Amino acid sequence: MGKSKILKIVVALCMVAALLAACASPAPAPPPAAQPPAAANGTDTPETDAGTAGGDITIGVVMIDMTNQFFVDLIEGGNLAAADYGVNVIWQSADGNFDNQIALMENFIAQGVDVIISDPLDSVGLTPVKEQASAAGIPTITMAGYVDVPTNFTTVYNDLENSRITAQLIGYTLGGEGTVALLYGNRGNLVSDLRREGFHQGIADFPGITLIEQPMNWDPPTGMQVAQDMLAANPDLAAIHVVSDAVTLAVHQAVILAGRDGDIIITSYDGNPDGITMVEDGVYLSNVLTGARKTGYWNIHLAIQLAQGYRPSERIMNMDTHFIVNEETFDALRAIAPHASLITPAEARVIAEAFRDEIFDPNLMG
Amino acid sequence: MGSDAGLLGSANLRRRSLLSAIPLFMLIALVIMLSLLSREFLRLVTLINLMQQVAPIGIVAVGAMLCIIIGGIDFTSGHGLAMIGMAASFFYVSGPFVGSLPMFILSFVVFGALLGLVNGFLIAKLNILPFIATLAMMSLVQGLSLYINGGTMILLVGSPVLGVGQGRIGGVVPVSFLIFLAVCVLAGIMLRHTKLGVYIYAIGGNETALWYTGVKVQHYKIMVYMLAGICTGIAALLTVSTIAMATPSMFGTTLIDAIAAACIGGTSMRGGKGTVFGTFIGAIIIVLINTAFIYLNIQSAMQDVFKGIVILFAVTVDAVANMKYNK
Repeated sequence: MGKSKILKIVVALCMVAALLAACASPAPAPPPAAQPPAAANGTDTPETDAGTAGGDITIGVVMIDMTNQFFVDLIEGGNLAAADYGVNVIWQSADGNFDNQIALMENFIAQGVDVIISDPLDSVGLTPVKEQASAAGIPTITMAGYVDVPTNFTTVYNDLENSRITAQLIGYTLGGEGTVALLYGNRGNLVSDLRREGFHQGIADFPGITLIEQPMNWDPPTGMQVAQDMLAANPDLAAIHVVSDAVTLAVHQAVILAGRDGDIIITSYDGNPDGITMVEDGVYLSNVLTGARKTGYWNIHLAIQLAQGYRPSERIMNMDTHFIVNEETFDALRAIAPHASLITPAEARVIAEAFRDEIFDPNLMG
Repeated sequence: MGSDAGLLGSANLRRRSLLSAIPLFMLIALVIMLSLLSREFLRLVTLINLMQQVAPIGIVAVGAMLCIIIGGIDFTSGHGLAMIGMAASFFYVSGPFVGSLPMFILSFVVFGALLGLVNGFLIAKLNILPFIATLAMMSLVQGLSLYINGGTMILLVGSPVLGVGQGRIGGVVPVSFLIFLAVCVLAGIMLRHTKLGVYIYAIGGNETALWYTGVKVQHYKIMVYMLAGICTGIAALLTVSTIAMATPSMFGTTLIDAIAAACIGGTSMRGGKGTVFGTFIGAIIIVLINTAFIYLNIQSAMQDVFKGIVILFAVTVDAVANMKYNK
């Protein structure tokens, strides 16, 4: 091949790279002005002792996956916290593979990071590697799963209970009768398993309801295909619950194509901005605001506290969640779950955006 | 002696014809089984859904088949589909061609061709094994899909582009299925009636021999990977315009399903053999397996087991056929 041809190919590749560079999202906004100290539930203002300077703190995060919209938003929130506090965060994806997850954690231990955060595929299975981290003097955070290691802290929201309440809301709205479909992530994934188990518990209170379920692998095209087939195979289908907002949007397209928009109850989880709008428009009956960006921000905030030597008194810390419903559904939901936090879509938008003000602590870095 | 050889030859031909019809028999058996087990199966809505669902997988499978026939493989189709979807949708919602449907459609083809060009260059010009080159590229395009728009999904709800993926002619035949048929017809004509088609089979049969005849093998290999990339691009267009969004997670099981469809359809993993019709049937079988478990409300773990058995069966048939043919 002539040199000119190689040159042409190199130029073409450079042009492609330039094109893709144009596709990049804008850089995050600069950190906000100093806000009054505030903390998420369970994380009090730290008593910093053996303080580590911000730029010296390195946090390793092992995600299940980085392609799901929830994880993308979580990373965005985490990066905002890293920018606000001036710490280094290394994000790694296990690509849904548990062996990868362990290997990545071992790498972080060998690398000597200050804190390791993991979103576990199997929290119990992570115990040995968490013990290794503990022996190396590295505190760990487990998102959404309890690991019985003294230096491990768990950050959760109550997926089980929220899913149970959602199922009961559907049962209540249907008058206790009908066929209900559940689209869960995949078996063996902790978050999916908790949301599925909670939904089963809630539906169990309605013996007149037939539950059908299939995994959607957190993937919108798969979710749409599964929903299309469920709708075709079950003409009496009355409600669909999807455990992830990103997939619910695709499922809604299947409902539209089946000509059953407005006829089928749809409920969702995560409270992404588009999911909030869907509740507002009356397309979804309910959604649960977990706040992916807030989750990311909060976990990095806690990791910095741990890196500075602070140890919260409680090893399990709950992040608050809210049910997003229109006002006409408030009464039904209050009857089912008197203690649940109910908010309107408009309130959800405010809460979803206010996480930085809520958590950011200008004194954290000393 | 001559007539004995002729008889043996015609017997071999009959056997091979019979073997090539096995995917069709499998499909018929699957349809009969589902019809008996689910009373909801034999309905028009099932057929419409099937036509819509098979289109993206089938188109990727045609591209996969071309790569396999020349003795290669393309692992970029799954994450490539997501990356192309993200890039094209990004330019549809921002940039100089905002809201332009022709540019939107064209961008899928262009990005697909570029992906295929890079794959082909690595394999044909730099002589990197297809397995290694496309595996590395798979990782690269996965990263790119997360880079574009910061990995955040791009919503196309309410956009006219949905007419491509969700539109139905006469309210029955999905536009996406017609596009799939068009791709199959073009690929079939190309393989049977063009010089490129002849060389594709010849490269898979004996690449070295073809090279000695003076044919620019590298050139045709690059063309094949570009065609596979274009197939991935078209599949990305159909996926994005069906689910009304582009997201880095939309690769799903596209890669495995497409290779499986080609394999079930009789494409030999040794290269040199494969038909568009077989791949068409293979794609329908793969989608029907997914559908079957939902109609029968069977747990998903068995879905993978069943899919694995069908693929193993297809590969075994190919292996047995080759053994008998070589005797």
